[in-house]
Amino acid sequence: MDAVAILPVEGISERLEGRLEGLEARYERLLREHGPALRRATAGYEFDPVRREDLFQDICLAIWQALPRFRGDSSERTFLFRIAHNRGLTHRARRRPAPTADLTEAEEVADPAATPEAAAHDGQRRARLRDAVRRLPLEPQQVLTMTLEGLTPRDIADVLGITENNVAVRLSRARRLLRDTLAAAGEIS
Amino acid sequence: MIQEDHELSAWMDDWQSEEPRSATGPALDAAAILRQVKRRSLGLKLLTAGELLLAAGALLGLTLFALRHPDPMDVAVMASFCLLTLAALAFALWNRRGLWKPAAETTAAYLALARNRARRRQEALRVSWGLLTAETVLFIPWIWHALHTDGRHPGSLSYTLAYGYLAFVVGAMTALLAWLERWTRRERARLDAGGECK
Repeated sequence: MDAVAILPVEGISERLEGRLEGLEARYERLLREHGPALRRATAGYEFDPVRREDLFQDICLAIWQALPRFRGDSSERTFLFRIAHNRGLTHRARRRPAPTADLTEAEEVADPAATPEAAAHDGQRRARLRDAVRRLPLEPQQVLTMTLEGLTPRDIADVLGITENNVAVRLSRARRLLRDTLAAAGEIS
Repeated sequence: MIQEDHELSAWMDDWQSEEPRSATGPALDAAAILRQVKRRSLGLKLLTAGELLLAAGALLGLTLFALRHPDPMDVAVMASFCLLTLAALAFALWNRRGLWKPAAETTAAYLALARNRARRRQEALRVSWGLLTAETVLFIPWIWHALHTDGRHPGSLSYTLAYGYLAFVVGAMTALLAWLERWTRRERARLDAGGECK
């Protein structure tokens, strides 16, 4: 009898190859759909642009390593945010805190459709918001960034492993702190 | 309440309307990231394999040395180094038990895991201090023995070079371990504070 017929090596190899291709396609789709949100989440943990890119790469690597074990017991977004926030947390614990840079001019993103003045104003407002969010303590910041990304309290509770009531308490505190910070920066009168 | 919801939706619009620019470019190229991630993933696997190969190489080198130098002192010292290497390997594997969990845990569970990792690293560092001391204690008489093999009487330069090299290696390892210990202690303190930088 033919050895190949007894041990279907080619079949196994094709199945593995097919599985890998499926994983790659899924990974690319996840990054295309949620990459910008993950980048924004990363920005909450790191001020320095170079370190931020390193952290984003670490998150991407962790997602790639965890993806084969993801069985859909939570939504894809919850799965991705868990990884991003967990990596962000250890990053923050390991790194020496970087000086808080003034990002108002460095990272403004203007709307090309608006007038130059309006675009500049919008860009400054967004930069101040992001800067203020980054300055929040970790717990309220995590809840707030996920809320701003449109996650429900239940999703957030699922990501952080806390109760929905706890999410509400942290969010309320985060909003108060953000309001105060923006008011101090002259954004809210 | 309605005002608050307006406030939140305005913040959401502002937050989601931009993608922070990265240092390497603003565009998010999923295919390029996948290529990079696969390279890094392979690199990490090679690093782990390299660690094991290094330990295997050390064991092989020590055994070959003992076989080529059948002097009782050489054999005893090389056997001791082999035992220390095996003990260090066994401890490293035992110390990593239960820590191979994916990063997709809840943040609360992940935080507990990260604290546990830092605690285990501190234990590993304590063992490393012991290992360094044991190896230094073995090296000092062995160098003396190697210098005086076959009734030789080496000059002061030989002593200076041999023991100076040992002092340099031990000094470098001491500095590295002290730095790692300080880094781990700081990380553990931050993790105990919930990941906050103090």
